[in-house]
Amino acid sequence: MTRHPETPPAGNAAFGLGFCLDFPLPGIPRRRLHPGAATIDVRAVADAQLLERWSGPVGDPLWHTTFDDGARYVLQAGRDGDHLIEYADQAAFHLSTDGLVLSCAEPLTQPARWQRTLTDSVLWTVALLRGGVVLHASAVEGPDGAVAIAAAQGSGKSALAAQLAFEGWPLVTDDILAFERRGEQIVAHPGPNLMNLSQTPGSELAPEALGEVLATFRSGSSSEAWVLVRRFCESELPLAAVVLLKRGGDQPARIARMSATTLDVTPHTLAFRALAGAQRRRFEAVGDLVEQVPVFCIEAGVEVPPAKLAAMLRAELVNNA
Amino acid sequence: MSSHAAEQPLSPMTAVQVPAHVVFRAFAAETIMLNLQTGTYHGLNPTAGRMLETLEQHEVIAEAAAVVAGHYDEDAGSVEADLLTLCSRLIERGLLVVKPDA
Repeated sequence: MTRHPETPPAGNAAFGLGFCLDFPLPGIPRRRLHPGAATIDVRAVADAQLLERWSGPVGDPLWHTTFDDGARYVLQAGRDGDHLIEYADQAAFHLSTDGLVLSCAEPLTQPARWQRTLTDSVLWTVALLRGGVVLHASAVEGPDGAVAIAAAQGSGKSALAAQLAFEGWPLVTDDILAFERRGEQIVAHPGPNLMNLSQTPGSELAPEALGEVLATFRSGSSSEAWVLVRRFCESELPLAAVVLLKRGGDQPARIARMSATTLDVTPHTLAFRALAGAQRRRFEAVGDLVEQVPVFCIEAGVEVPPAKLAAMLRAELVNNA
Repeated sequence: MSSHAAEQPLSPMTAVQVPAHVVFRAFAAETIMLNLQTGTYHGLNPTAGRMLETLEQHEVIAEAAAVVAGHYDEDAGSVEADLLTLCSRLIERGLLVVKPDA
């Protein structure tokens, strides 16, 4: 009797988690899931229902930040081990004590902004709360696996990933990449097939070239297109390279492979330090990553266009493979 | 700073260990230590990293010094002095503790 290998289950997935949605949400495609992956029920609820589920705060917030649009994002642990995420006064999300139910208070206004908060920030927050490890990086699918591009905020990692995606390397994630060690391999988990692309005068790549523009968000004099990307990675894949992108001055572009340690990569990771075990998990995961995955550094002046950086990176990864 | 270190100067016969709240990992370029209590990362050059690993494997500083001296073909007394200095600095940073007496 022939035994067929098990086909991994498929479901809406991002950051290594399955998401069972009871409302429409763009950007969380059906993907094959690892058999051990958890599936989170994502439910829309009224504000009052969400507050009924919240056990109340314990201690200081686990994490907080202020996004580019000026909105404050706060993660708070609850007395019963549940978690509450608040995005300014525009949205609230509650993760149950067992980490398997994400309740989303329905927004009264700005549904696109609410959806973007959920897909861009809340889902990877859930992945971290469930013990995941993430790089603050965009990524595309190269010939040998995921190519992660990490950089300081505003240094053009999304622009470089968008250029590579436009040239044919499917999008793996924009901004956050979840990864884990599995055996001798580092596995990258795709994020939503969504990108936030700055729209500046003279941009070489129109957002429409990558997919459907779902919304445009304006903040001061700048604007960002929120794009549902057509060509994206459909399953987890090996992490083939990490690229640390450093922009500044007017230096010519150059790429070099690094003898990296955790000190090089850890600044490009996110962790909730107050979460039990989070720092140890990150230390071990990043150590595994730098031992298993080649790390490159691209240094380039701010005027070097993404197309030139993309050509340089492709040449390094393809020609020297 | 460790109160034990303040009270008892290190000697070659002192036994030390990496405490539970510290993790470390050796890479080709350097060894990285992380103090989980403070969230602070520290880098050691390859020689100091080798000393740390050797300390972990031996009972007292003098034994580790002899092994390191043999590895690098150096004078044992000089290596022992270097190792005592390294231990003092790591203890100051909470990255190493003196083992309690058995």
